[in-house]
Amino acid sequence: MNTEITEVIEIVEIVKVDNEVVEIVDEVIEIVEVQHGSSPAHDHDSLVVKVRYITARKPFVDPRAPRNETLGALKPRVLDFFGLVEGSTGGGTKSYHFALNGIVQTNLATELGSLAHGEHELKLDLIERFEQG
Amino acid sequence: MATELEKALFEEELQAVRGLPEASRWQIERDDAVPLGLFAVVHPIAEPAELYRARIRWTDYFGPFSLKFINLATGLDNDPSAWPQCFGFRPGCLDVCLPWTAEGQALHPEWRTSVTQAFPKVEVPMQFALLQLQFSMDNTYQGRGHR
Repeated sequence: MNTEITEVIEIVEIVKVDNEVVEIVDEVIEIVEVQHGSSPAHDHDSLVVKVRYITARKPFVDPRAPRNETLGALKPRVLDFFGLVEGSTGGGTKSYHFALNGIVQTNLATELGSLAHGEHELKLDLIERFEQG
Repeated sequence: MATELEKALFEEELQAVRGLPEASRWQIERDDAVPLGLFAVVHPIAEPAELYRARIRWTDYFGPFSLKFINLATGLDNDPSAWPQCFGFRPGCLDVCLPWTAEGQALHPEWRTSVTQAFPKVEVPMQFALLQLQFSMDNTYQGRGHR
């Protein structure tokens, strides 16, 4: 089994200690295990999915997401990665939505492959919406 | 009062956001009147000729930011027609009443303790501010405000 460095991501964690802002910098090298010498998502049934959450530095990355996976199936994995929960609490509703090229995707039955239009990589954004109860 | 670290992170992000895919649609410049502020000329994705000059300022770089719109010709900050009409944007009140703005949080102090309306933990404040603004304009834009 080979390994391939796909991305070097600098993570800067900002915390407040006694009201002082402290910066913790860490570099994470993302390594994707590649079986049989093939690159990520170079088969016809999967693709690389990257989801950017606009508050976070590090994106969600799945180097082998099935092309027939729907947005609805992808969503829980992404919310879990960013530690997010949606629902009605505190007098309002918070929900998360995928956006492609800035436009919110409302149909969760849409398959990743159809959004990628034949490309090997799909980049999405995760945005949050508020509705007051 | 902005800390030296906040200023340094602001400077770092001011360069970093220029590399975002959306940055080709923005004209960003520093707001020299404050330590942590910028101007960004933006437009809705569907109406590239409708330009708006946003003024974004932070007192706490990791907290809610002030968002105002400036008349491109006069530079005045009290012109409702310089504001886009989007969800939560109130040109007549010259504010954006949403959980991510300082104006919204000031109007609704109860949001600070709300699970859904509290300002989120943000690692990249400038990216968050610019993209939140852009998403609002791309998905909820309904025209220009009225005088």
